[in-house]
Amino acid sequence: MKKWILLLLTAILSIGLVACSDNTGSKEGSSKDGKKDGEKVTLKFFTALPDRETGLGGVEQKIIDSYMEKNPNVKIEVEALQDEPFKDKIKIYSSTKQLPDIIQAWGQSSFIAPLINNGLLYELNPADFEDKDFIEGSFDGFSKDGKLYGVPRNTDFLPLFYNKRLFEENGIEPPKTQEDLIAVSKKFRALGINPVATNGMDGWIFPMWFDYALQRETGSFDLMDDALHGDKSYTDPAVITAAKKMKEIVDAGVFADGYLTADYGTARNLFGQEKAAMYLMGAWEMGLATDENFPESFRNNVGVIPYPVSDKSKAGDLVIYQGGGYSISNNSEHKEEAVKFLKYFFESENWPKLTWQSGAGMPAQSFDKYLTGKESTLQKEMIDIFNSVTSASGTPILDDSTPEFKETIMSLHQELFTGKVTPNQFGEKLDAAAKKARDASK
Amino acid sequence: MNTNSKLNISQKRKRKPPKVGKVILYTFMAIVGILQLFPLLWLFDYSLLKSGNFFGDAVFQFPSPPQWDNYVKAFTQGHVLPYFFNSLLVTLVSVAITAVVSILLAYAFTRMKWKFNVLFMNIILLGMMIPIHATLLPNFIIFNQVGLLNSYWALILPYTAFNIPISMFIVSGFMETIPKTIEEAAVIDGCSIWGILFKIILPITRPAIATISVVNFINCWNEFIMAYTFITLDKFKTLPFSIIQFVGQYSSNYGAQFAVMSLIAIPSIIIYLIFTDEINKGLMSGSVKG
Repeated sequence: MKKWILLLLTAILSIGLVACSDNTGSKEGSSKDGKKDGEKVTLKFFTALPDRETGLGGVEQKIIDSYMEKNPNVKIEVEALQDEPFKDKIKIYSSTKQLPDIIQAWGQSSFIAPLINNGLLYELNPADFEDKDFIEGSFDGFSKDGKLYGVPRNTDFLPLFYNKRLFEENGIEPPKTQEDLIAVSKKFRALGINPVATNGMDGWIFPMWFDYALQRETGSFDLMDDALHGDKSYTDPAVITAAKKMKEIVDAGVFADGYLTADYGTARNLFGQEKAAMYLMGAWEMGLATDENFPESFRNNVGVIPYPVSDKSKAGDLVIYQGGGYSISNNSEHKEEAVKFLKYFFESENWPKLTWQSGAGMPAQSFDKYLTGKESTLQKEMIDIFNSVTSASGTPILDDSTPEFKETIMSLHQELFTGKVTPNQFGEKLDAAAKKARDASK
Repeated sequence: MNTNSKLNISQKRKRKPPKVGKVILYTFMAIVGILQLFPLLWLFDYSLLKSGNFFGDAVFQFPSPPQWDNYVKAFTQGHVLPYFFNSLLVTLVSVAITAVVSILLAYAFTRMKWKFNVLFMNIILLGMMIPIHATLLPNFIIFNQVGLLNSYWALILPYTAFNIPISMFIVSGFMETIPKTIEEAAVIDGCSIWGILFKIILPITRPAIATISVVNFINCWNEFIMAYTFITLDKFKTLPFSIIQFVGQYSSNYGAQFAVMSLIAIPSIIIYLIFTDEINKGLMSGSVKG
């Protein structure tokens, strides 16, 4: 009796399961059949910009929509996740060879190298994008052994934002040199205003700042990369001095109270609420001048200057690099359609124009033609800095190696500033991490 | 006792409340209550602020004017409504399956004597020790091969699987406290095993079932890691997806995110309020012996 009931129960359960999965199967089947009239193609598009209505995500979606309108046979399915979940899911997709047709990619070794090495990305033809006015050298991050695996989307660089009103009202001049920066910060401290807001909790801003600190020390960005590749060492006296100087700047109270526990939004709002005089952040924040979440007195007074110099460097020596971009996956069934879409995407009246005019960021293509004259002062100052570039850092140090190296260098900076490691140990540990990363990639 | 009666007498005479102990108790309870409610009030308060006012000096800010627009955005850009129904469906089905399976398992383990009783119970309890992250990739591969990716089952199955061990543990802890004599009496009166289970054990275990259901409800309701791994199509997305609709490249629309979170919190609060008595009973009696 018992057994019968048990058997019956399992039978009912399994029938239920099968029936239900059958249902979903047939539903999917019918919708696929629906797509089959004509030469219909579905492209899967995986991006790290979840906000599809404002900012860069909005621009992206706009171009996708207009492409689908012009090519009714193409359907683009967008999947969007924020940074960390995005990278997690890329790992899952790539270990099952299920990468969506077009994925957002970063032209940085820590992200793109494993994908290229495992043959997951489709090799693009540079000629397809030749006429799109890409900034020289912008393809470097996306290339390996002379082959191109992705197209850059943005140009990012690291300037220093400042609040003109706070400077003028207190009769303080914007800092030109690193010594100025400390002096200016002390003045703001005395006035009870936070000097520089930044997002120390996220960790990535400091290694980018380290690029500056070392360049200001040696006069070139080369030592950083040479040491990473093993031609030189992070125990070099210049690195130690740079680390000492960073520590001095931190100890002088240049960064806002609680900078080590401030995440992106906290730092941004501290600056936007006029409680901090300066803001160390990438050029993508030029939307600050039009962000209605902040008071008008802030919006009208936000300005930008290059990062302060030393006697060995010029203001045009910028930490500048190509950030995000797109790649096409090797297992895609519609590679040609995907390339066609990317070509459309980067056409001059699409991505570069719309991005610049929306004020959401700087495209990786030259956008001189789209200057409307209606740009905010902030945007204009940004272009001046951009046009003054005398030397470029390329990919920031933290993204130029393995993901593990990135973790190490981020936490090493935090340890340096909290005094857990000395500048000498900082150099040694960094060198060890670089060596480990080199061994791992061999 | 002595002091108590004295206090009572003095109270009657002076008609004053000199019960120092009670005053302290009530103030203490009030403080605890406020601390408990504070995050909710704070959530609601911030859901009416502009994103630019977040992270200010003041903990509580009076929204002037209140940004009801955040809620409008939650429904338009955040797709709260369709995602809400997906969440509801997935959660309710998972909770129901978990409850049924847990009761059957618990009964089999606590009341029936069979060869591998202890072994199987331990195997199921081992499930508690498996971290979610370790299952993502294998599950993705399995679902992919069976064709279950992008379906409600892709969420219901793992949610149920993850909730069963702890639920079974709580329910069996509770069942052990039920005196066996009740069942013996039922058997003598001619009741079958299913009869015992559904007519006698089930009504007695109600508090335990309420406890696990509420806990599982909240688990499933807030789950995001598995959801974003197994779901890509809009029509199967659950509520946590609406929060990330407001994440920009670097900064986010915090106001709208808080509005979504306030909306997500409402069902959890309602469920909790409805079941709060049963939960207390369940936790108390489960903890005595379990």
